[in-house]
Amino acid sequence: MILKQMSVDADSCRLIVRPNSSLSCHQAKMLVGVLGLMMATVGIGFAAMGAWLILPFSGGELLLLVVALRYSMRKTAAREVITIAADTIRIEHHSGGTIRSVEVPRYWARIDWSPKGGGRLLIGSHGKWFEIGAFLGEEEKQRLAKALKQEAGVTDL
Amino acid sequence: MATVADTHGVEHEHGPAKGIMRWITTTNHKDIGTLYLCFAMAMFLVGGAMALIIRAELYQPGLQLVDPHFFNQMTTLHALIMVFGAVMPAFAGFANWMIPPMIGAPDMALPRLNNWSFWVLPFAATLLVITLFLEGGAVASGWTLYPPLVLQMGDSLPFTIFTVHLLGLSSIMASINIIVTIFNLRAPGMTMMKMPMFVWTWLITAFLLILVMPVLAGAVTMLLTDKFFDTSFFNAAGGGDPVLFQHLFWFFGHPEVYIIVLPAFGIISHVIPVFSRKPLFGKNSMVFATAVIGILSMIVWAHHQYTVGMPVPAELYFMYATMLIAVPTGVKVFNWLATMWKGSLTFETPMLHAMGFLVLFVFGGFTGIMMSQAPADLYYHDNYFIVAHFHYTLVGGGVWGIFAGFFFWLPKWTGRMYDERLGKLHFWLSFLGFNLLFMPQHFLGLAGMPRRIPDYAVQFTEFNQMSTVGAFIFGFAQLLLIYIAYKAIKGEGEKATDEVWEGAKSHGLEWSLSSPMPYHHSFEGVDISKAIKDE
Amino acid sequence: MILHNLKRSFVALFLGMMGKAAWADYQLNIPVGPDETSRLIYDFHMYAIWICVGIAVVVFGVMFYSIINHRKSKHPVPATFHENTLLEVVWTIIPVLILIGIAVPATKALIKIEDTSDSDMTIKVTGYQWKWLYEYPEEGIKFFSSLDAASNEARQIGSGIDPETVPNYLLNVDHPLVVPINKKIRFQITAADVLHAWWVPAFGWKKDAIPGFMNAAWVKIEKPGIYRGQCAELCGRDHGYMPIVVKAVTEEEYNSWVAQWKQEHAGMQVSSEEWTLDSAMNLGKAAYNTHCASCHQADGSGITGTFPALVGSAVVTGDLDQNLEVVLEGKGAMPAFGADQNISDEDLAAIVTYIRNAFGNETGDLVKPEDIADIR
Repeated sequence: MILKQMSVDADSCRLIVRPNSSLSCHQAKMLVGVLGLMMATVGIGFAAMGAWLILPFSGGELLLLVVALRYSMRKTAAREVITIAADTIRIEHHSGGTIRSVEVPRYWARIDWSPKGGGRLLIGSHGKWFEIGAFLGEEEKQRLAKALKQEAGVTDL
Repeated sequence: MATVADTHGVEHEHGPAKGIMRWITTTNHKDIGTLYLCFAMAMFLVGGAMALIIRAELYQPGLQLVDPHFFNQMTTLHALIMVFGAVMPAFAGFANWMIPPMIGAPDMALPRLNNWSFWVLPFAATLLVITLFLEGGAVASGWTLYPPLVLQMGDSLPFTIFTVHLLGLSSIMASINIIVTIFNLRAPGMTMMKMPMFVWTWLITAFLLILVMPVLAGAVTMLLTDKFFDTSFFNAAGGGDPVLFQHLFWFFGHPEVYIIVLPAFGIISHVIPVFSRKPLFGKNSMVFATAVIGILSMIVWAHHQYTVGMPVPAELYFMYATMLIAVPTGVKVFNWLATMWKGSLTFETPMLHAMGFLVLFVFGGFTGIMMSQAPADLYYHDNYFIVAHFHYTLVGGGVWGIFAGFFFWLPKWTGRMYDERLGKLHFWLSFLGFNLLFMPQHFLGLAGMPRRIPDYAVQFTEFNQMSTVGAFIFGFAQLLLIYIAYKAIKGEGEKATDEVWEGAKSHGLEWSLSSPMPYHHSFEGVDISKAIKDE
Repeated sequence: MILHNLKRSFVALFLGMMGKAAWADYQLNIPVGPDETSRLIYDFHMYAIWICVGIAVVVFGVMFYSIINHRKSKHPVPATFHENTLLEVVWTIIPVLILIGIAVPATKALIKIEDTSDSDMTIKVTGYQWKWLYEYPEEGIKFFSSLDAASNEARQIGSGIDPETVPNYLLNVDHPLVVPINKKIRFQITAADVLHAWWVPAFGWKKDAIPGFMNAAWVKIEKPGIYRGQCAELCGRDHGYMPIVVKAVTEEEYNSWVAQWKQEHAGMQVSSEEWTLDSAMNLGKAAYNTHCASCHQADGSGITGTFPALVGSAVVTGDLDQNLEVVLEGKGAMPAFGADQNISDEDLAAIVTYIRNAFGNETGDLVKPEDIADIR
């Protein structure tokens, strides 16, 4: 998802890039709760009939689901803020509470998005290149590249 | 990956890795989809070869080719390989290829887990096949692994149980990945009710897998402890109950048949609208019907056990619940027919296979209604009628869904149209071969031929011979399928347009992507955060 | 041979379309048996078939009408409808009504088939790998029933015997189950080793034989005759070779059969003077064929990798006590024959004597029934 924010005086502009993240924390809990309840019903039901060895497998599986959900949700909580100022483009990467940032001179910056690059969208200049929007799909990368060209006047390599 | 920030020349090389390592280390959903499909095809041939051994032995009465013990190994491995090695991985392949573009996600949610869940499979399958060469041969108890018979097996038993665990683990990882992807990686605006049918059917399939796999894993583990650690879960002499295993097995096994057939429902729900040039009829009721089928499938398992001596009220309950499944299944069939009604139909290979699916699956559905009836099932149970029934539903339903999906999406994947003439030839050979193979088995069953026997009384000869001839036609027709795929992958055939099929663009996001779909190498963990750190 | 059969099957297929003559004793449907359970099942089966045929005509009719008339060449402009609530409700409700129409007679039939009360006599059926044990508790009759010798010879791989020349190939036994007609017979079905299922198609139902559990079923045969069936639950290597033959006779014939059986088996207690190597070998051969031959084979050659050969075997030609221990207490997949009270001391003694002196094994040992009784 790409959000665009313009400052009042219009000489800086901000692009916020976020991965798809359609599951809220509450919904995730609901999902785990419902699945856990169903698995517990099955497992405990059969345990009552003597087949208690099902329970450890159900438990392990539920644990794997929780880990997978947490991993994916943490990954999709990341975002990139691209601030286009008068003569720099500042890229901030927010992930898990840490922020890393880099600045590229606006007038030297180029975009590289050739199929040979394996579908990566790169921005940079003078041999220093950074990937942006790694978590985006094809179409959205195209939109991000277009937005950068429009707002920052960067050109293709 | 410091290279990202390094010289320019380097990252241009950063397409997929070259050679075999590309496939071993890949985390790209399309690569993994391809791996799944190739593996499924290989297993389809292995399991098919076993079926041909079975059919060759049954060509005439008397034993000509194999020992009865080996025959039983063949029936067991044929089923395990076809279910866990061919059909399920094939649908996992479709899921990998198609779910991300259908919901607007760049890749699966857990690419590395995706890699593992595929690469477990070849090892599991190899392990299963090499049990044939152990002393006493492979497990020969039928794929249902019923104790006490299965406990008489030799060294192959622990290997087979380990294999079942590995196969289960693989499908669990795949299911969890699919669930997380569908819930967390949908594009903005792609609400649950807007999701395409294939995504919906796979979501429900993944739920079913997650709910029933622990039961299978627990059940086979209890076999292992009964055999090696003197427990008595299933041993009547020690206070256990052999029928308990059957309940556990079918609690997994019945949803398993829907695990096989639901994704096929999804594929057919995409193919029919495109070739009818009409939107899918009753999309919401399709979703609802799929969910109801999923739920019902978990509470009807003991209809596989009408003859074990359950109390009559239990038999009646399972009978009524089983019959109910006909209602949502009927809704789906009627919706497909209504989609075709007053459409503008053309019959390219995918549509031919969808029609084949409808005919065969509905036919299997009719025998299914008959088999759900406890009094009649006392006759049909464990004879060739049931063999015919479940091949009509699982092959006519599952495999025909795979055929339809394969021809439907192949141009999207390879960017080349397959050879339409050969595609149609493959359909007709398969369809005629299949019916010649399984239609006579209905009559064999009704005439009283039990299943899983290597030899039979002479009055069963003629139908068995027809069946064997059909089996060889059906089997060898699949070599054509490989040839067609080979040609398309090699880049022979005319270039496919982006929407591939006339008007397909109005039927889903995936048809507006370029053909072949862009490779989009996904960089697991390699993004700006790493690059900046290296500065 | 294969070519001949191929030709035959196509000829049969061709003639089959012409008329019924070529199908010899071919059968396309469930047999209508000589008893009520079978008729209940047959009638219900036909009822279900006709309902399915009715639905099939409608569904496939609509489908093929659409395929023929709505193809692009005939119907170039597709309609755009994709919803119709009324239609969707209707095709949900109609199947429910049809299902109720099936469920009611099914319930009635099932309750009747499963009702084993008020029986006139009881027969206990025990499944063994790979034979059946029949017991008539009221009469004290008990015998094993296994595949007859002619079929057993012909069914071996490479036997060179054409199954067509064997009467009732694979559906014949050495000792059939003899039952009277017009009596409600209650079968108690169980198993000694693994699961089996007792199925005579002419009676309709089948019932699983489960070790440690007792299942019940019933039949009341109205016509004298011979009814054949097979084990219907995979039970190991020779699952396909444990047929069932039920000989239904009039009550008088049945009574005389009972009397004759009792008379023949009254003198079973062999006195020790009569227990010679010759008599033990004779008895042993018969008992070996019933209890041992399905694994170790009639000629003692076994099956490589699965069942050890007895020819020149170290156990069989070696220490007698060790041999007895294996036979009585079992080993690996081999059951403990000593634990099975259905096999007499005489039979076991004769079997051990037989295996130690047949197949070229010449130990000269004579095992006596008392020796077995002592160990047991």
